[in-house]
Amino acid sequence: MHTTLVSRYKNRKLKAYLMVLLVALAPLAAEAQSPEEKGLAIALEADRRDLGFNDFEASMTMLLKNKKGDESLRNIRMRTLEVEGDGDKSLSIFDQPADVKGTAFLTHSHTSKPDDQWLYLPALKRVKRISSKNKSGPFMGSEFAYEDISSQEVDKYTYKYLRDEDMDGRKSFVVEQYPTYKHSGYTRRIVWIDQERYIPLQVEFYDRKNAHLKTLKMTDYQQYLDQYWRAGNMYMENHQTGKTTLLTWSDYKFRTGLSDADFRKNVLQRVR
Amino acid sequence: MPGAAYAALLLLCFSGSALALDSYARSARENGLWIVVRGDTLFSIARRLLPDNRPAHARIRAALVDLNPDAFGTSAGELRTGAALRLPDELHLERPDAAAGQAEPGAGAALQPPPNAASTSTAAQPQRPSTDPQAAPPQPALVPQVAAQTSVAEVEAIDESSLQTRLSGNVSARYAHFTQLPRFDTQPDNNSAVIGEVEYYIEAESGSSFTFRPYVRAELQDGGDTVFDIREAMYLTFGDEWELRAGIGKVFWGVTESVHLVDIINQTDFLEDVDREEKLGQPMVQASLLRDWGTLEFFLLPYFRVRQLPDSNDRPSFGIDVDNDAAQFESKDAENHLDAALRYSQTFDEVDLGLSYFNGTSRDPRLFLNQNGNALIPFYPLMEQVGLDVQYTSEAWLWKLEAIYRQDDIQSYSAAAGGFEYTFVGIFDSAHDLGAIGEYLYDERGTEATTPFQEDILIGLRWALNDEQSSEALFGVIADLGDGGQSISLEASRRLGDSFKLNLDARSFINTENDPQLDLFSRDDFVRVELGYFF
Repeated sequence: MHTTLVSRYKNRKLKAYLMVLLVALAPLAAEAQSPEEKGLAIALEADRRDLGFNDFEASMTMLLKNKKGDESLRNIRMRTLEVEGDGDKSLSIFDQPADVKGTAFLTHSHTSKPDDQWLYLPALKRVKRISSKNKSGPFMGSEFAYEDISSQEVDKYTYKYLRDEDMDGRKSFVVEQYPTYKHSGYTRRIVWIDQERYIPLQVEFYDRKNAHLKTLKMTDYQQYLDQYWRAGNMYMENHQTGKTTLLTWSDYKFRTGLSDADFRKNVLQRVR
Repeated sequence: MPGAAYAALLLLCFSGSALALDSYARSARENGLWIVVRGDTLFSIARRLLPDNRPAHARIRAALVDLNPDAFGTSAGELRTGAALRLPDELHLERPDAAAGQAEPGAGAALQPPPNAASTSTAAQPQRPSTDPQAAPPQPALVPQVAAQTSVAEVEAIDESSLQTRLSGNVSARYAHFTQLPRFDTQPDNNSAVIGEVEYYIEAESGSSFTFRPYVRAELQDGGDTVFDIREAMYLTFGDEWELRAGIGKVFWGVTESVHLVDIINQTDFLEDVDREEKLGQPMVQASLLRDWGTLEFFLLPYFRVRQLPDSNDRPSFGIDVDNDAAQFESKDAENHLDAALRYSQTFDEVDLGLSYFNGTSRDPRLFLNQNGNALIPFYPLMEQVGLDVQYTSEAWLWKLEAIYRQDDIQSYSAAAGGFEYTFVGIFDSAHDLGAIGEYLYDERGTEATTPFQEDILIGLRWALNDEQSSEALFGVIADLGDGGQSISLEASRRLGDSFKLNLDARSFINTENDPQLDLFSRDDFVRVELGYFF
């Protein structure tokens, strides 16, 4: 479930190659592969296909709706840098709602230790290092949790292949994923992965009590640089509260020349 | 120290000077054509065409793709070797000999490719058009002339569209009700004000920007003033490893919640709020060096802002007028003394560290009774301050420390504040977060201190609902361990719709009898409501 979003990691090259080999040989060894091995192999292949994008910029609009139909809007610009051998770096700049305009959020994610995160509060001109523990909390009051939109990596889950099934008219793998992060808000996710493009089409989220909490539908995929698939729409529905969030991506630009210098803590004070 | 800072600033300006265009890139820009050799990529070409305007690279790359659909292989990243790329008109450079009418004697030599460029591209050399002006084919020479006529209009059009502007701001109305009778007859029962702040931001293609942020506060109670200030009027330009700012601005240093000891650049807008978080705009030149070993910032502060202290009819008040206009300065240059500051900051994994030094006029005045005994006169000494701020972040824990050592001609002292913030995430199976804050405050001066915080503790709770309205509340008690005086505060806020925000603040001062600093506020408990409109 990688392409969900924003980024990805890649220091598991050897492992990845081995698994790719495994996938290649899958027809021969299909009987020998356990559901756990097959689930992992699918995740690794999806990960491999999204390597090397280097960097991208995009804008996102979130439309929040509650049960009564009240709406509110969020506009955020996002920049991401792929980091060789570690988690990606990302910078989010908030344009709407107006009272948080200019607020910026910098993440240096890591594969083997907690992420580093800083928040910039423009009214105080203050850069605050913040705790990165809160992965399960709502992002900007939406139905997306921080862990739903942050950097996705193979090691953050363990896997179990369930079955093949059609989703939106496409042949898909259905894989169950169990978060390895102990403070995750979920016991498991079930992901439908397009067999041709290795991208997630639908995700079901199960809360800490293992009750079905949310469903995410990812549509309007477009391919960039002839390789990288990104969903144009992500629609999250919370079945327990009736609230929904429609996240729409636009203005994707890949390989814009971003570098480490664009993701320093200081940059928070000058981005608009 | 100001001398040293100035020298360092100059040095920094030079180290950030423009990179020279290499000779091939120059001739390509003159001719409007780039011949692709092995190893060229859109990235490397954009870099060489505009070595010192990195923010424009993405646009140049996009333009190259648009103008040269046939130059690419299977994907946009793959350039065909030998392809002649048409360059966007905005890159067009006048040929030096065309401009001068006659080639200057040295011009040919300057156009020779540098030795390193020649050696790395030997294999592809034959594909390059010669950079020798004598051998330049006649036909490309016509191209720049035609282009030159159209380029003026186009460059203007690009300039027009490449300036990004943004306007934002807020207008708010507030009403504060004091819950007790005032200490002095001259003081009001309530304060109310209308506050407006607008930010105009303009950014050039290069990324350089100018921000202008005027502020006005009209106090509506009897005897209230109208205050106008320029909070920001700042020019900013930067490169990968440096930033330069000049104008009026605001800088914040520090990590703790109870007091801001290290934060020294800006004067406090004391009349705005007793919490000392609102600041006056400070004239400055700030040069920053951003390197892997850390960030080094130099500040030159050419003008000093006097703290506007309350009159006897303000609330709170000293009970006697303060003659701000008669303020005295230790420096013979008064407000015009050139202050300087230096700060080093760096992140070491979980640790964010800052070390700072300040040399100049103290932002905190000492107050003296005037000769007639009917007003206080502020005196601003010269001082030096060394500061340390550090935060250790580990999962839900934030550990914080700020410490200063300050010295002036009257006294020297140290002060510190440190503690923790721990966040309980998703309490009671909800999306709410609850943060517990504990800090200890120390001031070596004890009861001689000019602040009420000599040996105090802060206990606070921060409650964030994480809802669509970003509702949150912060409750805190600062208690003096020596004399028992306490300051209790509550700050809560919630967004209404997409554009409004409601704030509720309350403050109370209790057990202040033995704390002369805090006792000044003892009757000034208040509840305040503020509604702001943001755009």
